[in-house]
Amino acid sequence: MADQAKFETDAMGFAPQLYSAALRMTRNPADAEDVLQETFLKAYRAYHTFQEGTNLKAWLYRILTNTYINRYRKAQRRPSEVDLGEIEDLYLYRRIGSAESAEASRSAEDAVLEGFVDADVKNAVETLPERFRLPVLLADVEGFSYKEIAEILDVPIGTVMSRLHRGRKALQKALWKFAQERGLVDDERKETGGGSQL
Amino acid sequence: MTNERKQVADRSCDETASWAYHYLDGEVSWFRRVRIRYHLRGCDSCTNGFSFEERLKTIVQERCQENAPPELMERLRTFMEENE
Repeated sequence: MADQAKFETDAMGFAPQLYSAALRMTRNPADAEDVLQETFLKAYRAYHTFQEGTNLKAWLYRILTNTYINRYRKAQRRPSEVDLGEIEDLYLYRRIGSAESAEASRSAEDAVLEGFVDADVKNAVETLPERFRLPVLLADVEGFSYKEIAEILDVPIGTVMSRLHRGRKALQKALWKFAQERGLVDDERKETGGGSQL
Repeated sequence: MTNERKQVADRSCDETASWAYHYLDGEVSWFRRVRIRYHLRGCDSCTNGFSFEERLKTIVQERCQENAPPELMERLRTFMEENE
């Protein structure tokens, strides 16, 4: 059992990280701050139930995620089913990496990876359907293990894996679109590789 | 490479690629990891693909970080004090 008086010392340090995650979830600073405040209030009040020595970061993210879902899921329309069936593994790599030589491929990859601005990547994450966005956020940005994500989202680990897999592919598809729009890939490949035209 | 052998290689590449995320997340069994490494040692294309995925993962992580404004931390503390 954790001592409530220690809450500030133990938990406040996670606030900036939690805010960053809340921002990727809600997509706007005012809502992110509301979610953060509510999360900390709930966490403070429930802190006596937290088992000391277990994973405090995951515990806080679980409260954050639930707070976000309770607040915003009702307000949202049902997420539209996106058809991700045909997205192949290593989607982005295969789009870029078809150049003639290894050196040319590598420089094409660098151009794309270095060419993304922060807004592209944030946008690609934020526009993922919610059930993919949360696992991708928790794994790729926050660095949680599959088991921790399963606990945070309260879904079976198999569900985490399949959503993460599909979510990352969808992310790569979105990034490929940005790469085309930014002219990070040459025109020839734009026409043959991408599918979606500008 | 004969067509038949090419097909075998493709299947093996496809299988390896399908494990890329699990492998890079450190979420594969010992047995699977050995199999994947064995394939990667002999396959430049998959090795490059895995390395690309790894770089992409780092970029996603780095580009999605957000600095919380100092006023936000102040407001959070005030909010907590008021609601204690």
